[in-house]
Amino acid sequence: MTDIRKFRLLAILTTILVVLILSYNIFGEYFMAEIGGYLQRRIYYERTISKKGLSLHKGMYWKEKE
Amino acid sequence: MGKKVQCDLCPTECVLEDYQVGGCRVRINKGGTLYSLVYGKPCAVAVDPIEKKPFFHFLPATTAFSIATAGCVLGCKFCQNWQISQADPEDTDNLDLPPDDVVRQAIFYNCRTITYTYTEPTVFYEYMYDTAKIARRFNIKNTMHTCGYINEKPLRELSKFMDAADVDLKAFTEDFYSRICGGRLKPVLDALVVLREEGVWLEITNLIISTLNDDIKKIREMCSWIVKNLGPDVPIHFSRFFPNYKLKDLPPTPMETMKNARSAAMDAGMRYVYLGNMRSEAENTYCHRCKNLIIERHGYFVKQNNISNGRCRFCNTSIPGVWS
Repeated sequence: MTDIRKFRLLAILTTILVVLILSYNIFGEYFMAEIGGYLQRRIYYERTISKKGLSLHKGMYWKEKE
Repeated sequence: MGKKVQCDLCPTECVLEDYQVGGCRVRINKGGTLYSLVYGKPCAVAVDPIEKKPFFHFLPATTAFSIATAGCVLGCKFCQNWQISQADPEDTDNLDLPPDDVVRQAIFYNCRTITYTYTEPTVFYEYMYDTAKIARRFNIKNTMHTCGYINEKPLRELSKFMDAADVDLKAFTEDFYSRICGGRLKPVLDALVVLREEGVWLEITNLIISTLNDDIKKIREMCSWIVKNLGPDVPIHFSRFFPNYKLKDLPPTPMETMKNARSAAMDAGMRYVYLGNMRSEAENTYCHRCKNLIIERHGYFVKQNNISNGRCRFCNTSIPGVWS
């Protein structure tokens, strides 16, 4: 591998890293909170609610009559 | 992750993320579909006198098969049933009682009525709706004790199968509803009008709490609104407050306040005004025309009934209510 190719590869990897770090700083809080909240709710549902024998009955009958 | 769903059952209109449970604690968005968690899963089941609901002008001296699930659309600081209304359904002991079994049990216990009560029946709308539909086929009447915090469309649909409703009109100020109950007054007043329009027999309960909603001027204003919008024949039950839940620091409502409220209601034109949670002559029914005693009660029990074919036995005046 020539020095030029090594340099290009390093430049590409650096760019990707910079973009990832910037994205995380800009959007991280939003996505992490959303995914974190979702996981928390899902785990609570799977571990607690679904094991209590509660039914899942489709709601909002009046919508079907519209 | 599934899409968000807006529940439009009650005026809170929660927008729920995937796997999020609504403010009522019993309705969940799973994969973009809204589900009830308490269909056929009551946490309270009992046979009660109909007078306990309270209904004083609806099949007196009969029994009501009463059911409730966990959850509520409001969060009243004075709730008398907060152990189940403010609990999650996964934390209560629930029975497995599908709608047809509710009707079967009601027939077995010789109940003329099924009452959806104790907590707020709006939260178990689908369960109540299906049960009421089956009950109607077996000539069993349906009644509910509700806070009236429900949107118009679901209420009109439910009214097709509901024979009577006792609505808790908790106060006549928006401030009380927002600070003490976590809701709004306007949707409750709208629900009262809808129930009236739909021909559902209506009774109103107002819990009087010292320092919070015992202003006689406001009580008079509330009664005038009832007379104007619902008519003078709607019975009202003023209920005496006893310290409970988050309002343990307040005293029981003085008897004097209760009597003043009754006088204010009668001055406003209401014909049937009762005092509850206390023993007095104001738990009896008197004919609005001849003033004779027509139903004598002691607590939840009827001692004498002088109504015949819906009419006063003394002056033959038609007494508003459902008597047979």
